[in-house]
Amino acid sequence: MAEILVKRASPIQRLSHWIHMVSFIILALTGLGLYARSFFGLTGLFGGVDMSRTIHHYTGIVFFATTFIIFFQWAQAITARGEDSLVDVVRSYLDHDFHAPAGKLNFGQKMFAWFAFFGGLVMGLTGFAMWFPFVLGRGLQQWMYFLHNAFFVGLMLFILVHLYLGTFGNPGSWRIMVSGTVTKAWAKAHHPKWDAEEV
Amino acid sequence: MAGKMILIDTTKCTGCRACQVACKQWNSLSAVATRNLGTHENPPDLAYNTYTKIIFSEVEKNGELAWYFGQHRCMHCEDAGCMKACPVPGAITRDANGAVVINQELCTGCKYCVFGCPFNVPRYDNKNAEGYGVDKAFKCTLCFDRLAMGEQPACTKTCPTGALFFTEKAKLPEIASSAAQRGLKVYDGGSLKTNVVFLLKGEPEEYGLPAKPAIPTPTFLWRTIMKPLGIAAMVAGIFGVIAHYSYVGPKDIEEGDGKGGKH
Ligand code: HEM
Repeated sequence: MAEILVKRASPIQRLSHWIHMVSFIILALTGLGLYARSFFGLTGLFGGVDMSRTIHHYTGIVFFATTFIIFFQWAQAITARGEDSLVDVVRSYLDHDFHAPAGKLNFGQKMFAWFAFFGGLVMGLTGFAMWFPFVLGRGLQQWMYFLHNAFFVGLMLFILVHLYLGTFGNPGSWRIMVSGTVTKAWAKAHHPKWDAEEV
Repeated sequence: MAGKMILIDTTKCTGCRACQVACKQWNSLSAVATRNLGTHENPPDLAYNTYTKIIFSEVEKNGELAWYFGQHRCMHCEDAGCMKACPVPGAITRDANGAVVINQELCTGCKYCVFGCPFNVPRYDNKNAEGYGVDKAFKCTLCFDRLAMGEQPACTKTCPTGALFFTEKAKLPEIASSAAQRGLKVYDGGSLKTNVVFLLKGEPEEYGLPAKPAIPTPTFLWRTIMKPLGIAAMVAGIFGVIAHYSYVGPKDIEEGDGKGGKH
């Protein structure tokens, strides 16, 4: 049976997301090398600690910029009021027969989007402060390290879930990153309101 | 710990600054062009080429003027904020004498130590004016290289009045009780257990020392709390995802059915 395909992401949206993802992975690996002395070996992947840090700094600019680009590309869907709740979303993760009455984005995805935006903002601002540490003054600067670290952990946890749900957790989702399309069945199951109203 | 310490009896200091000169000489540190800052203090601040500096402090006490001499320098903490903050293995180490030393060969210039220090001591330099290394942090080494040869630090060796005195850390209780008899306060960094110990007549702040020295709160939260917690959380997250995949499984949408997946 021929698959009915539904368009979900434009080429520009996909390109932005790829850049965001690759820059995040580079930032996470170069950052982890400094996170703990036991992870220091990771800096070897980038030709030593000095180069690893330089790569971190400039990749940070790319990541920071795409954080905004992606948020505005999806702003309408992120801010749209949905009919589903957090309870629905959690239930749909645990019960395969249940589908949250989600619009283009479900409640969990919206939460993730807000956190990715806010987290990217904090990582960028604290990161630039760490790049040029003699601007803010000693007392404030000391907090920048803590915040960069705490939001790093927060982002890693959210990204882990995001990555899982976008690949192994929900077969048929990854193709959005490749071709920008999903199957009609996928749309109907995961985003019934979106499927009914917009597709 | 069979450590050593520098004892600074501030009542014996005359502000001659021979220690500053001896320090520069032993460590081959260049002089700093300066100007009149309205005080005898000179150079203006610690720097990549100034590891120690005498503080001249004028305090009014009950209508009388007191002139105190303090010293701004690395305190060689046993619980060192710079070491907590440093991300590079081996870039800051502590030797058997208790000297906390930055190894510029390994230092990557991240400046974490600059902000992790409770006493605002390490200085970052990027100019490499005299070939000390670009993009590195610098501070007093307790002359660990002299100690290794059985010598004492350059500053204590040179001090003409005995205000700077190099001795065994184990002597501290004894020194403390005789200082108490003289009405002096012992300043040993509290829980940081510094290997540089002051005997003070006035309050610590009057010597440019923090009254309650501690690892800065954000540095403590970052390195002591968040770092291990973060690793635990990330590992737990990975296991959580694997558990979901194993026990709940992927949500497979079968073409055409539009409903449930794997049962
Ligand atoms: C968005 C712009 C960003 C900038 C400008 C930036 C900048 C920095 C800077 C300057 C440092 C200090 C070390 C050094 O000087 O090399 C640092 C450390 C670090 N960064 Fe970033 N960063 C950014 C984003 C990120 C992101 C998105 C992540 C996570 C994926 C991340 C993870 C880390 C980690 C783990 C550390 C080690 C610090 C620690 O021990 O807590 N950074 N970053």
